[in-house]
Amino acid sequence: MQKIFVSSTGAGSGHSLAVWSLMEVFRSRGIRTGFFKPFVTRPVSHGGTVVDHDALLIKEYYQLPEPPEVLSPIIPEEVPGDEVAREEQLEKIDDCFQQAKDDNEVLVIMGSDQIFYEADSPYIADTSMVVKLDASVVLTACYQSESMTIYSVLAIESLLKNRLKMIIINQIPPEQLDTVQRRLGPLFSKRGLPPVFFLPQDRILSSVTVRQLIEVVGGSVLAGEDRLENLVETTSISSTHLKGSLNIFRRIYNKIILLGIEKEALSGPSASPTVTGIILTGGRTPAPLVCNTCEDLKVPLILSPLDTFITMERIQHQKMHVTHQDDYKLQRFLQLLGGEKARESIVANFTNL
Amino acid sequence: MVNKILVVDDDELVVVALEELLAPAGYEVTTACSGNDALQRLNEKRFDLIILDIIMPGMNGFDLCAKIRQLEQYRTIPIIMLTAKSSAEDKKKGIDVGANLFLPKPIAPQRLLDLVKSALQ
Repeated sequence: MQKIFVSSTGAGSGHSLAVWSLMEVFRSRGIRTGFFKPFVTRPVSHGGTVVDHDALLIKEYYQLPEPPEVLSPIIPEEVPGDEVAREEQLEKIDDCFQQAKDDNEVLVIMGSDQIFYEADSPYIADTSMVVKLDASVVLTACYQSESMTIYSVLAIESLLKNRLKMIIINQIPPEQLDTVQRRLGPLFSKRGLPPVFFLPQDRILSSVTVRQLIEVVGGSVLAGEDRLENLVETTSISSTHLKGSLNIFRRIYNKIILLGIEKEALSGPSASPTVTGIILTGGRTPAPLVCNTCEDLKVPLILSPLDTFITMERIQHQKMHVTHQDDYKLQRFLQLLGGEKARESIVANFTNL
Repeated sequence: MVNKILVVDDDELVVVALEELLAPAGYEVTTACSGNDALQRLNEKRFDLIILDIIMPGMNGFDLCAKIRQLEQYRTIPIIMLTAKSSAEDKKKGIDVGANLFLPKPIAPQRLLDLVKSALQ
């Protein structure tokens, strides 16, 4: 059985999407693939218990038989950091690991939030877990600068040696993508590093759905119920983007315009952001004409109980993690990795180990 | 004035990684692949900070650090031990032989840059 440990250099690396993509690549080829994440790093409440967000996502999307508490067994906050507790953690990890890998040909293991050493981390370091579970490693890194990315990758390769089998460098500014590929590709290849996938910053991956924003602001839907999967890239309180019948909103001041991509336009050519939703703030229901206009134009209209300032603040500070409903992000991530060619290369890379 | 840093590690990947991180941040980086190589570099010019590994063939990082501290001009300059050996015992030994900081590998790039900057101040 192949054990693939997916580590991250920190926030924004596409850690969850990389794990989901690997699961998808193997499972879509009929390879029995399981999931395991030793530590709960994103706790969510599910059926009265605290489980890990990623474990829940993968369980629900692939209908895995194991409960989320087995797929991700350790909640670090519950256990003091002494040696006895650490031994108990390791025993529990081992027990759940055996259950998760049962009958699978590939097990995708998700590491904690970052592979770098942190003095007060409640987790057992990824570098130790990799050795304990005897796994190959996929490293996901959020591009910061050439120097930081080179340092991160080489420093980790020097510790993991030949366990590192694939590197994903994510969120490269599109205008730097060619330069970064030309400099880093040969530099890594010359030093015997494994295949590197260079991914640009992407408007689809960095967007959220109107439905997710409704949750963030605690809003209710006034119109356009069937368009809540529209994507939102940015927000605006100005009326600049209001054209045609939407001009009616120029006279309404307590509003936030959501700009992005309509769900139907996802597979089409890249276009300028359009109005994909409007939030009315302050909790006052507008005249029926306003709702009807949005319904006719197929633009979701949301009512936020909060004032404009707080609504904006909540939207700007939201940290949405991918959910099993975001499979458009999975498809986009796979497309950015290189589509079918990348899928074949990943399968070949890991099944030939 | 540009601060001069000596990086001592027998692993070429680590040396390149640190050089790639520190040089663009404005430091002049010199590298050495062993304890003896490092002592030679220290005689050639004056450094403002030393980053060294512990596990090296021949002279290990503890012995090297102790030797550096015996050199008059290097009694007080900051020495950072960056190592995969991270037990409390190793840390104590590192500090005992004269290291100012003992950092387990791998350390995040921004954190290392911050620590280097702070050590040089």
